[in-house]
Amino acid sequence: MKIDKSLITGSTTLLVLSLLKDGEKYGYEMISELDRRSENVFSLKEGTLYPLLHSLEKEGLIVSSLKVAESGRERKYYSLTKKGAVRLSEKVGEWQTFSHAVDAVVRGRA
Amino acid sequence: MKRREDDPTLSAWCDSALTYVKGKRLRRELYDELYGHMEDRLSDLMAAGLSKKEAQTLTVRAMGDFNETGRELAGIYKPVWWRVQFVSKIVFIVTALMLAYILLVFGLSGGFRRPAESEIWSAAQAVVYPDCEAKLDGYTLTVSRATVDEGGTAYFTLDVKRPLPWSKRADLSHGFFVEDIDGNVYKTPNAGDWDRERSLSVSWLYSGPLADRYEGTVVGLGDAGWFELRYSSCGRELRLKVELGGDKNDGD
Repeated sequence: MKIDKSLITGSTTLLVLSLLKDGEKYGYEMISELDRRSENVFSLKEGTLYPLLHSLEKEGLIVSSLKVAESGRERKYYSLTKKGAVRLSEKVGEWQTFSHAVDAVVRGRA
Repeated sequence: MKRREDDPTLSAWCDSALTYVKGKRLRRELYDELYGHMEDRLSDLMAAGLSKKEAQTLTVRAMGDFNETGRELAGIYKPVWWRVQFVSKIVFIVTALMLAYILLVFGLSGGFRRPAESEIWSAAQAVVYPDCEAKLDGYTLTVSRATVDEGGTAYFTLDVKRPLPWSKRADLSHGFFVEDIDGNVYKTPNAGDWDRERSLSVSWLYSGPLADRYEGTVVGLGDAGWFELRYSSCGRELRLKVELGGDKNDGD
């Protein structure tokens, strides 16, 4: 099912930081993992991932290093910094509060 | 940015996106990352059975609008890169202008021409007085050598350090005079009541990057053991005592 793009836009930082929680990844790996975990619901335009990664790196939430991937090609791997881990837990908290509230409204609960 | 072995369809997308980004090194890094991503996507699609042509089309489509990616990347890096490039350019231009000015000034004034040393310095006893130094209008004057011949004519070299490398050469033709131990005054030819028998002349020898060297002659000192090179004008005073002979530091 395709969903409204604006719903993804506000959550991309949370999604990217979450993907790096389990360890370092390069861009294509992240996109593949995002497709797999979301069962292709979050199929964002792949080119837009890189501005996001670079802005997160500039903020100091992630760091990058060049390494040889399993394919034998050199790739830029990203990993979470301590600051990034703190931001992730904040974002997760925000998301849980938000989704709980939306769910409550949609389902008509008190 | 494209390398010889790169796929032209993929590299065209990367190059189009990176036209927005300034800085060759940054563009190279971003190109490698974006191209690497597309290369992986292409490989996966071809491994899934698609033809190269189909895989290229889908890879480019999956990346989305190159204008959007390029503008966003440029927005992230633009401020810092432009500042660095701007400051580097200014520093380069200022340095080049300063070098050109110094080369021009010294080249035209014959500053690189170092004349042969006068024979008096090898024939007579030369003495250096490192503490014989005074300041005038920001210029630092030092008598680097002094000697006297049998006829009572004294010779000295005067080094004048400029306040800044591009400062004008000091004009020593006016205002200077010499006074000896008995109070006799020795003036330059352009001063009033000039006496040929007791006279002073100062002439420019050559210029270095930071200092100029002058050569002075005092005629009629006799057997005076020292003299004072003096300047006095508009309330500005300078006195340099120059001893002749003695066992102080040997000359250069």
